[in-house]
Amino acid sequence: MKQTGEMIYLVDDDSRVREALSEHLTSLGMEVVTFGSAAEYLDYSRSDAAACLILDLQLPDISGLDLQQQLATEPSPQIIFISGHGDIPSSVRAMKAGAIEFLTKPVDEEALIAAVQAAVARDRKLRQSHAELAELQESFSLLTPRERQVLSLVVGGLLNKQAAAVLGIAEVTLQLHRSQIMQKMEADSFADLVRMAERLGIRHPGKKA
Amino acid sequence: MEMEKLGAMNSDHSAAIKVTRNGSGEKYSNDALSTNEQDMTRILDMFPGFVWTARPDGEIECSNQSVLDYTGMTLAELKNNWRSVVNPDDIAVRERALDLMARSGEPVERELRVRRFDGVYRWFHSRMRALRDEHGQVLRWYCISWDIEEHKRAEEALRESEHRLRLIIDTIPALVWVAKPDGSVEYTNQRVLDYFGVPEKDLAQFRWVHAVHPDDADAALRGWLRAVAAEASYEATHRHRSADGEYRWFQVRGEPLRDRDGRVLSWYGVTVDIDDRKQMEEALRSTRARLSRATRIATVAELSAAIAHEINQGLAAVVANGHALRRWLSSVSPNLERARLIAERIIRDGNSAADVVRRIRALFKQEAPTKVPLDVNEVIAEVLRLSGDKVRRKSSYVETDLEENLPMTLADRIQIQQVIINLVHNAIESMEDVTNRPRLLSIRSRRDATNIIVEIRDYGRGLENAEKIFEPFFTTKENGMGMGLAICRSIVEAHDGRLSATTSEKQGTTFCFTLPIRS
Repeated sequence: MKQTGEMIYLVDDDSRVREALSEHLTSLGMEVVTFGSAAEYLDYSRSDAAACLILDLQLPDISGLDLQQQLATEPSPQIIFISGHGDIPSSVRAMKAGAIEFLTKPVDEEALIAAVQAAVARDRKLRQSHAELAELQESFSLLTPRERQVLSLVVGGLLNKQAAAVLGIAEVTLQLHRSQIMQKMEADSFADLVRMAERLGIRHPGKKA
Repeated sequence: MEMEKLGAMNSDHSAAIKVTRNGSGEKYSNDALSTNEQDMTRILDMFPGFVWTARPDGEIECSNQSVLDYTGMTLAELKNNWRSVVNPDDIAVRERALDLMARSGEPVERELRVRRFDGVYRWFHSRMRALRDEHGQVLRWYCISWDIEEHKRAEEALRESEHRLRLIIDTIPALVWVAKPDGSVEYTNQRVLDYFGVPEKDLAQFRWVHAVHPDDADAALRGWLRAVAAEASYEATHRHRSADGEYRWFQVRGEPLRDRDGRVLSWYGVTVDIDDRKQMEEALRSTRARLSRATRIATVAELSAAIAHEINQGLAAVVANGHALRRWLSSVSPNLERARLIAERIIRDGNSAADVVRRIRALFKQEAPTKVPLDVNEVIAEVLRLSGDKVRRKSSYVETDLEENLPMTLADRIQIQQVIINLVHNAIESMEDVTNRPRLLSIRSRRDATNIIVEIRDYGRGLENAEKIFEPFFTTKENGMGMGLAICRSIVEAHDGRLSATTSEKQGTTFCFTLPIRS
């Protein structure tokens, strides 16, 4: 199950648990960094690797749930909660806020492995999607203002002739812009360009989304 | 008859008139007026009151100067118009008096208001007698009147003040009573009559003790009789039955009033309705009992949660380490060194969970201490002997201030020793990182009326929360279990004492526990 470069962050205030769980995860081939409190975790500068955060519900400074809430506003690894007692309201709250899993101590090995895998997989996917978006934004930034106008009109469903009329330019000029756009955005087809525009949140100025 | 010569004053002819006696024509002539008579005239005019005569029909005949000075009228005016100077309300009084006197023949006295020259009415007392003929017919009235205004006012003021006092006594929200030296009721305010439903006329027959709740009556009566016999203040609390049969709680206080020789003249007392307060106290007491029960239950629940958590953490570590151990052992080339390390951790964490269980056993075992008479000072000395090593090792100083002849308490020697050892060791440990002042440990014993008090003080950095430290599993120490102070408190409380802490950053922490003095 070993995957390269993924990190497990473990936050638990009990040194015995920290030590043992870290040992367990290490024996499963994962790389683990442990923290005794939320503050310690927040102070740590994480590497860019795919990761998962195992968070004890009861921490000495702020509760695991509060930390989860705080992390929701920034890019952060997926969270697996661990708790001494299966407290239903807390687990419901944690899951609703997007936690991968809520495990009770002592932690079941299979459940732990499954949760970590799920968390890391989701993190990878999110990272990939973020990376793709960043790439698209990079390409989009290469477009001239006129090309951006053209892009928004054509993906909005206007024919070349109509779009040219809207902008008050010749149809042939418009076609020229359009091929420039396809090239700069590295689009395989017009359908691909429409998808890209959607991800970038570009809409036809006349159509309200 | 001297009085019959009174016609000399202010008659029509000013100096002298002829006065007819008995209508018989007997005359006193002018020449009969002597120096004596002039003197008499002066006397009458100077007389500090009104002197006057009237005809049988009540019309004024003559008067002395006082009347004229007072009313500001001439005699002629007075004669024609005397009714105008008598208060209209009192004219009838005068007439009735004359009428009565005419018939009875007795001198009559009356009070009426007479108008002064400036229009102000003042009260006068009048006394009149009649001069009669042989048939008893009135020939003439002889009267004197004197100013009683001041007296009247004083009387009025007195009546008013009496009324006010009575009003106060009847209005104050308490039953007010006065009793004779023998203890029987002499006077009560209206509230007493209203509460017990006794008509005022039956007060003499009223026996208050009959209206005391049967359960309280005996004690109430005995207490009152004892106070009366001893002539000492009386105080009691009992239930009185009201007129409508309801019992309410009252507090009764009586105080004897004595004469100069110290003899009791009467008893003054108030009986105050304290039923509402009593009910409230009762409610409060039962709420407190419920609360303490709830607190106990909450503590047990909290304690079990804390215990469960503590043991579970250890077990979680054991299980996770177990998983890891299995992984390491089942790999192609087992890392035996690592496996041994993990096995040791499993043993360590398993033992620490077992230790929690052992300490909890100790905590609950303390519910039945073996109590023997105990000299707390001796226990302190013993603990200090036992702790000598630790004190020296941590280079602390111990200062003791033990009260001599401290009374004994009834306590379990081992347990109290445990408490003191725990507090002393805590104190020493709290000063481990103190470097800028002496690590002074101060132990003091003293007593108050009912308790032996022991104070163990350190000069460490103090605590953040002086109450939280007594919670199970709360610890400020690196290797602490957080059970020590919880156990200490439960021991002290099992001995009906209290353990508390006061703390400050500058002054360190003082732990203070009490143990009841053996009665």
